[in-house]
Amino acid sequence: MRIQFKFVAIALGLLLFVVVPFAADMSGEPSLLSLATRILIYAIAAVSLDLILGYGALVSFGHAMFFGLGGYTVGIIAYHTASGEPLFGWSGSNAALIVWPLALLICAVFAAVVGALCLKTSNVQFIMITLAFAQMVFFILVSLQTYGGDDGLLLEQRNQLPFLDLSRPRAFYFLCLALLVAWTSMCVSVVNSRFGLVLQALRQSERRAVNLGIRPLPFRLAAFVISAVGTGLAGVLWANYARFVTPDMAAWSKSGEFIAIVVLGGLGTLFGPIAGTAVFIALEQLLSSWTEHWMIVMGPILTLVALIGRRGMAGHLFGGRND
Amino acid sequence: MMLLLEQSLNGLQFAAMLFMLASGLTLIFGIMGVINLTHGSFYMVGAYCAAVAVLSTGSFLVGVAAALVGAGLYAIAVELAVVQWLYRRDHLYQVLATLGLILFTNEAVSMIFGRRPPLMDIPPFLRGSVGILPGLDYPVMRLAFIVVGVFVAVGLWLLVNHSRLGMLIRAGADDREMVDALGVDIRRLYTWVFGLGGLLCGLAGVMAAPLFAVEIGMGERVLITTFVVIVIGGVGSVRGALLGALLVGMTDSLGRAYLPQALQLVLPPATADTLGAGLVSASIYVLMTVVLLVRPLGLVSARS
Amino acid sequence: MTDRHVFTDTTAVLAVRDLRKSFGALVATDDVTLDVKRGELHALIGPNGAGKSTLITQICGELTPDAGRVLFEGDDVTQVPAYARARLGLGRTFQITQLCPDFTALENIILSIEAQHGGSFDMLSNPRRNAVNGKAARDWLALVGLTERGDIRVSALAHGERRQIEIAVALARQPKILLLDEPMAGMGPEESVSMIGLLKSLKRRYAILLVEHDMDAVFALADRVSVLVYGRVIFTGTVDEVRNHPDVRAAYLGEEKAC
Repeated sequence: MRIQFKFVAIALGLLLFVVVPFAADMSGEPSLLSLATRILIYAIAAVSLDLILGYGALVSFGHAMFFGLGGYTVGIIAYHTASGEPLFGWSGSNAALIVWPLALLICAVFAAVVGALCLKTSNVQFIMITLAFAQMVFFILVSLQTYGGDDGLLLEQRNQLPFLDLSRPRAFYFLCLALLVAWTSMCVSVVNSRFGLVLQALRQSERRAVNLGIRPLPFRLAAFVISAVGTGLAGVLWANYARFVTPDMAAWSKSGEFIAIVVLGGLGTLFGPIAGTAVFIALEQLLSSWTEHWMIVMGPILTLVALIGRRGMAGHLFGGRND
Repeated sequence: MMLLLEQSLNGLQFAAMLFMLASGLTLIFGIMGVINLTHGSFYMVGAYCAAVAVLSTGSFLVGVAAALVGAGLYAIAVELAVVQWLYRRDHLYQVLATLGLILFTNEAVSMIFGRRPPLMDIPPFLRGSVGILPGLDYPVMRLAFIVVGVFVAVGLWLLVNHSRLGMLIRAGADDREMVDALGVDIRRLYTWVFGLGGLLCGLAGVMAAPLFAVEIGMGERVLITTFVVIVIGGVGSVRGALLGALLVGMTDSLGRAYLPQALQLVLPPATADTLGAGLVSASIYVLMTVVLLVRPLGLVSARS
Repeated sequence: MTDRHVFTDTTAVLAVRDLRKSFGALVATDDVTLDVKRGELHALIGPNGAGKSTLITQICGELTPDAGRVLFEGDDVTQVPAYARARLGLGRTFQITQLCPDFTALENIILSIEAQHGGSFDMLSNPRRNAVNGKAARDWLALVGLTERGDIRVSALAHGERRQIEIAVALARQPKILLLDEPMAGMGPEESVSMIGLLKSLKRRYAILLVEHDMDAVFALADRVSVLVYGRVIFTGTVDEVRNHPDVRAAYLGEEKAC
């Protein structure tokens, strides 16, 4: 009974997302489409983070570094393509099919190196060392004067796909939706596979897993890299959506936002974080339109979520972690 | 040579400030097992209370009192309202809960004290510079900071090793249930330790206010550095906090002074310029990464 | 007395030679030599604080000894990490049950079955849906007599049931030797009888090193017994030899007098 309810909820959610552009048109609120696009993009990051936070119990306080890396790769390539100055001898490209995989590859490689170093530690040290790397990325981004430094970097245009005009908001929205669906499906497959079984076992009883012959590091590292690539994808999409990237994309407060979204939505459920993203961003939008002091409400909300929401919004529905 | 000495003194001053913040934070983490991100906010509250008190009364001593009381009371309020529910929880929830508190505190402070940063002057008796060596004049205020830092270190050492409270702290760190069974109210012990941490933050705040900008967000900047200090030093150890503070203070200070030039020697000028600024800020993180890779639990283990 | 010649027996699945481990001034493992032969159930007994758990952790690879060797089927595995020893065939249950509490009993056993594939990164197929796994897991579950409890989350199971599941999990890995750390701990009288029966059924099929306090179990099951006192093996022999050995009696009775 509960399982069927879960599928109904997911189907409804998907339907809602599909309907949004048309609803935005009909109600004459184009900003609704914009809001929904932001939700989709952040949701991809949230689902990715849940993979390691919820299923793997790796509290990465630096995941925003991949968001920033993905975004800035797109931004920097766009800058060089537009200005004509070659980047390491390459004149650049505006083709999404070239730029996006490149950005994801860079995130993957960076994540592999950083992950290998961070995973030598655990607990609070792991939290701090992931934060440290994110700070390093942040400060390096700030110091890149050529690419705007603190002020950020504007992109003249979105990347191009051969069959879809991404400059049209609706087309871009549906691309983001398609990517969210595809990415989440992939994560579901990963989580239900042998790899996912082992990852969750490592979270629940590392000792038991090791004494069955399982070596923790490769699994955790692989999960970390997959999670980073997803977050990087969100960064790539954000750069295209906003046509603007700033070092704040890699700030620790951004990492905190992602964590908050996942916990709000429900750790270890994958779909919970999607709902969590919607609530969080809508709430942010709503509160900030009421008062400029909206943080005074947002802050305690986060605190409350942490104090009472053990299983988040969707935990009961999707059977997440029993914390 | 003079530059080296001056930068070293700056490093010591930064270390003094970091120690005041880190010692409280490491005690809180070591004894209560809580990652408290609000620690930076206590520092900010202390600085704001001090600045406002000095601006309205003109007395530095009143400012000190205001900082200690303001930060201390706020810390105790936070402990009673939020942190006490976090003791057995996963670090994830502690991070999230205290993150919410940071946002709240920042907004509350800006609503109460206004968005314009209050300026606090260096008190008259700490103004000017002193000739430490021929050719080296160093600001009295910064020297005072170092001196206060030494007093705090000695005071904490006496407290932890030679007082009843200190004994309870050490016992509570080792075995919570045992202390409970001895009839000590562990809840009140925790509240007092938290308050002590807040007090130390307030002290750091009032000393820092004349030197650095008093503004929203000053807490977060120093918070991360403070965590770097306790992770390098070894969580739960005050000795570790001292060692970590010294290492981080010196690395940051000397790094800022010498790293850009060092990079110029090795890299082409354009790259050196670009990377230099970033690496200077990132130097302490590189330090922490190196330490963690060699000693995953920090330099001093609390349970030695 | 531990006669060194006796242990050059090549039918030993597991052998420990002159193992030594100190924590500061405390010598937890003091030149321990013993072995477990193929098909034998070798019990390790001793008063509290004798160092039994420390010895087991060194055998499994979670702790590195200061000196001495651990040999598995003749090969020196002293420097081999714990996960690799498990892959070689060292199975283990813990003093405090180690299972995945959010998984069901069957999922825990399936994990064990899947763990035989070592480091393989299958991210596509769901092992829970695999029919072969399912049948094998149910068989192991039936072996420990808990067929009806398969789909229940481990966190909802009773203590005794969890101990039994843990044995099924260890068995499903198809080890060559089982290290059982106080499997009777916390069991009521009925559960104990049940567990002794289970362990009896495993004899001869596996080499077993059994660490236990429960003397009924030891005397009912053991082929050989080693007595560990203050980190030293003071005697190894058959159950009857141990029962009548003066040093052993002194160690236990002396222990009781001190209370």
